[in-house]
Amino acid sequence: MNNSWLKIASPAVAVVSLATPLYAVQYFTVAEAQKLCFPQADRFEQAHLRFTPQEIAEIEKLSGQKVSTGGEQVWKAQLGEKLLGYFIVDYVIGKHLAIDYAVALTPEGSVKQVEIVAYRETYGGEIRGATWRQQFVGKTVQSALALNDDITNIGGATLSCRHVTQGIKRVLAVYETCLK
Amino acid sequence: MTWFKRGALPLFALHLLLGWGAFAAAEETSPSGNSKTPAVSNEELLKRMDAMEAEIKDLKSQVKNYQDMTKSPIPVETPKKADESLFGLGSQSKSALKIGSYGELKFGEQQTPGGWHNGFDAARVVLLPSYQFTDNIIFNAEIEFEHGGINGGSDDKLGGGAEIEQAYVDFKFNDFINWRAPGVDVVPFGYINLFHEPSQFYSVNRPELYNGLIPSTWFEGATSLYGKIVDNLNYQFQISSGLEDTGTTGSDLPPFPGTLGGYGGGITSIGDHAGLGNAHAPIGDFNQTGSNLGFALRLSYDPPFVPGLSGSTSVYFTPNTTPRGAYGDNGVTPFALGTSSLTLFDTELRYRLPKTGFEFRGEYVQAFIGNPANLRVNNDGDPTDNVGDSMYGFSLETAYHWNLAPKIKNGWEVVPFYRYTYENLQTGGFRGNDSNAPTGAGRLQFHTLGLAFFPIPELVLKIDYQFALDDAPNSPKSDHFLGSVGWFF
Repeated sequence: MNNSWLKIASPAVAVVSLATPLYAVQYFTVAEAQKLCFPQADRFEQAHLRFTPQEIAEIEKLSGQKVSTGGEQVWKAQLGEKLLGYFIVDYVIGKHLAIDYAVALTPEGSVKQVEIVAYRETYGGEIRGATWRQQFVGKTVQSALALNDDITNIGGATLSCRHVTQGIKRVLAVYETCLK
Repeated sequence: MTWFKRGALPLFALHLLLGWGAFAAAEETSPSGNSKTPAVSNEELLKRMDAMEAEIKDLKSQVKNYQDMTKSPIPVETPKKADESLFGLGSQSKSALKIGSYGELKFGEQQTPGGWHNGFDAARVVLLPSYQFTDNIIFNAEIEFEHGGINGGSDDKLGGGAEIEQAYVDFKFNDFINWRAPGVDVVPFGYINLFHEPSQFYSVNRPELYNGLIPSTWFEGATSLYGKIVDNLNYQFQISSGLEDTGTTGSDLPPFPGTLGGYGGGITSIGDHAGLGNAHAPIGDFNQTGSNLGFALRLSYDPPFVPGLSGSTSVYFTPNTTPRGAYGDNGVTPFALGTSSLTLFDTELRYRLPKTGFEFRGEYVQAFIGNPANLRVNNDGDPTDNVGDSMYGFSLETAYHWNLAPKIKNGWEVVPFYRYTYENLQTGGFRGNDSNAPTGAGRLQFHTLGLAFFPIPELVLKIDYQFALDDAPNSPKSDHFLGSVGWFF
């Protein structure tokens, strides 16, 4: 039994460790994600937000989600003097570990694109699939953004689906409160 | 002389007085009256005041910055390089140990051949520690206390267990291949064996197929490779300690005739955890009774062209379940048992009709016994518990998610459900030394009807009634009417 284990595990360890370098579960840098969401932009201007207590209360009321940070990382995507939209980086907890994701908004506040920037959980990575993320395109703060309603769940990834959906709802509330 | 006394002398005295006063005014004197410090000009004083004012301004600014920092800080990205990495957000989570939990507390009435009994069961309290060593190396574990825990003393009536159900380290490489180092892991077979928290199913007890035919919670010493094949299609391939045809733990089977009159089989057709529920290989102390590995492959899918549909297909194979030193006996003489392979197949689907509350689940599982003539239960002298060359079962379930949020503040949903399960653990093809006289107890049906109430997604209150039927006369007498409180966070 022990010999069988060694025979099976040792080659696997050797092959995997030598042939496949460990690299991050982070799929994009911020700059890469920005370019992916706004390929025409010639610059991204930092416009980070620091929430006031009134803004936090309004965001929580609009989204139904608790605000757990003091602000939001926001960039304006610009082409010359024209505002192409907003690029926002946010995070939620999947099962126990953070999921970093980016939301691109149009100037009018609808979702243009969602990218999963870093995913660390063992299960649930199906949310990185384009089909699931495509559901958010066009959503606004008025949208339901509810799992099994206007957003389809993925069995075996329920927690990730739910928390990212809630996070995007909160990001839309941030736009409505602070950027509109 | 007269002019000196009348004029100069007073003048001289006056001069002395004026001079002395001027001298005194120009000095600083210490409280003791000793005057040593030199004079400070107004210009110098003004300079000093300017310097103090500048210092006060600077201190005020520092205080304000400190106050700002101690509010909830914005995670701000500072690197300016072109290949800058995301800063702050993910790192907020990766340094800390995270401990989650799930559990189930059950109560109600259960039918037995002697009548209905009330009872309570602290079924399980489970701790789920996770630790992120690096972005690529992640530790997960599942530490479970079942049925109240283990007996610690002579006045302690506990009869449960404490066990490690998962403990492994994942090395994450990319979307397509990741390695789970040898550890304790659940076998990737079916759905509930992997996702068995109480929020994943609506009945008080786990679905019946997972109470023996699939020996959930089925965990072994194991190592895996897993990842994505293409979008919406994932795989996990696992090598583990193989299932064993013995319910005995320990590295050696009791010799014939043994204090217990032999040993019980791990692959069974009747009784508690009938099916494979007693066939787990131990995970401690090198106590496995076989030398064979098990190989499992699970494919999971959520086809984008059918929104709301998810499913999986799993296969498991071990070349031999016969433990070392296995023997059959007729109560008089022992005889050696040979090898017998085991192959398992499972397919399951879960479908949520989009934009409605309707949900449907279906599952089919089958076990193929390579050589039933070598199973312990076919050679233990009991003609009623034999196993054929296969066992199978299926279930169909329907549920409806009724959203309470508009009616109850902070309410979530109620889920009425019904599930039908059929199992046949005594199909044809009996072989072995025993005569064959099954009673019908190995063919079972279950009708389970109940409600699951989720006040929040992480908490579920359940109640259900189960009708249990089999083909034996006057049995199985194992209906139940149970409630439970379950959590998962």
